[in-house]
Amino acid sequence: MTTPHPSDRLTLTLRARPSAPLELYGVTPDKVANLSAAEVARLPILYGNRRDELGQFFDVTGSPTPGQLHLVGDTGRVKGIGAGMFAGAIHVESDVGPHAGAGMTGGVLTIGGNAGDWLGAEMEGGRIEVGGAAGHQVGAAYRGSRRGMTGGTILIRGEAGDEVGLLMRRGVIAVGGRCGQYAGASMIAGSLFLVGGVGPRVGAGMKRGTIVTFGPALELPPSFRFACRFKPSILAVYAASLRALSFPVPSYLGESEVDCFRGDLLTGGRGEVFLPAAGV
Amino acid sequence: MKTLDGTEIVDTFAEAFPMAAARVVVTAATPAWAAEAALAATGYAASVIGCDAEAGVERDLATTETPDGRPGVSLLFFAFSRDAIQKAVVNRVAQCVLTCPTTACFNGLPVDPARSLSVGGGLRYFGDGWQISKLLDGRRYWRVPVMDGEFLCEDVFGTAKGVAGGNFLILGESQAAALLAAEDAVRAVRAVPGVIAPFPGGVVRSGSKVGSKYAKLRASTNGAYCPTLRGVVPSELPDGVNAVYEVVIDGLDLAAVEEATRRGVRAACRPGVRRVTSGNYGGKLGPFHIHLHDVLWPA
Repeated sequence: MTTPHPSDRLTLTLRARPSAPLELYGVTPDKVANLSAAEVARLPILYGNRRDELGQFFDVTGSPTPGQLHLVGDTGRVKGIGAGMFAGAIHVESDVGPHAGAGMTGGVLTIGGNAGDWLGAEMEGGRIEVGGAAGHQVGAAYRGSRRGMTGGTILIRGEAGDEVGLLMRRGVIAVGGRCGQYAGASMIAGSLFLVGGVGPRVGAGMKRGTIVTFGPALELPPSFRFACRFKPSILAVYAASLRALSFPVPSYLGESEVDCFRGDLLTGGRGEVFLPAAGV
Repeated sequence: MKTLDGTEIVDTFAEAFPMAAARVVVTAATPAWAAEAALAATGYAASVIGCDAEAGVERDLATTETPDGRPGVSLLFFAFSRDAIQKAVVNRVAQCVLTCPTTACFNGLPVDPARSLSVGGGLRYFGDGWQISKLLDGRRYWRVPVMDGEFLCEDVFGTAKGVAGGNFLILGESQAAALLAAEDAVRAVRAVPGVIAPFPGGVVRSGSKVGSKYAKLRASTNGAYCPTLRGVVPSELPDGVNAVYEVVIDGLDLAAVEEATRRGVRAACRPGVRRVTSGNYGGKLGPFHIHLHDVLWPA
């Protein structure tokens, strides 16, 4: 994760951790590109259930023109950072609250710390990188929605919660640490790389899509069937792509055989779960 | 006349033509299987006079150079139009790469959507509904189930405006001397990135002229360079020349063809090779003129 020079970006410094959640929806590099720092400070945000100005909580410095936004301070209670972004880059030094990058269509959101729930929920494009862990429902569909993430890439170096990639339709999610249960549940398509292993019921109800997991003691639903042991070329292509983004994937990804399980047979059996072949 | 290592270089030019070009990267579990697929896919592709495309192996690829980290081969295809190259590439990948054990197939040129070829997008139907699409970094891949696992093929391939028909002729004192020079020339040509020598071994022995005494034929043997016809037809062969071989070069751009010509001619020149010249049609047909003296002795 690289950060631009301070003079090339707009920096929002949170003065103190808010006692109620702050909602930063709409404050994205593309939307503030033509505003001065003073105008950015006057943008409306929600503090709890109260509408307020951004400048009441953040010091705004630098220039927004280059499309770079930098968030400093204890931002763990700030919701919706980067949500709806379609261009530019946001770098958050520490933690973010829920809904970060939700509905993104482009740009890059990098988070130095941990992310809350609904990270990249229903995102359509762009890339999210999290240095720490993430909460539940990464790249998932909101309750009542038919589709989760439909494009883009989410890279989480730490652990992730439950329902990673719930109803995802396209895109890539890679988790370096362990995931909770129901990862890839009801997946429609897309690819999940769960390097640190997964909790139970992975891929439950998946229609299509690919789940690659490396951890021990995988508990697949009974509606999955072993298909074969082989070496899919596509995994090497993914491995190269992930490594190009400095995401740590096992050296044997793409170089060794995997065991392929097809499922969920309850929903057509066109999904696939790849596990390292025994002995790897 | 200028000479190089004792060989006369005729002050003439090769006349080359624009052609649609595609680069196909084939990988496999071993270099041998990648080579098998490459050999099959570029077979019967010497000249568009009688083939659907001109094709050849550009070079072998190391595992660090291929998208899936396996040994590979880079192939170049040339045809008169994008429609023609679309058909040729799809047919050849379908029959010769898809069918070959362990292979995968990738695009090797930048993609301009207005000038692209649908390759995997057509072949995916072989999967009978079980094909899987993956969109990664803006490129779509198709995974088609086959009996040894799956065939991976990129959806869209880019094209380039290539240059085809670069050539030079090696006039030797004997068949053996001319052939040895031609072999060395082809080795030098094939070391240039972005070019192929599409004929068998890169060498042509049947240089042709346009037309024939037989109305049905578009091309026929070039009697002026046939030593057996010396004395009965107007000959271009100086005394002492008893065999001629031609090296034909297709490239992704003019600079590559010129560089290949330069290296090829230099490699061919030696005692026993009396003369090197090039074939053209008086400069009226092809827009690219590759002057031997200019490429060998740039100003």
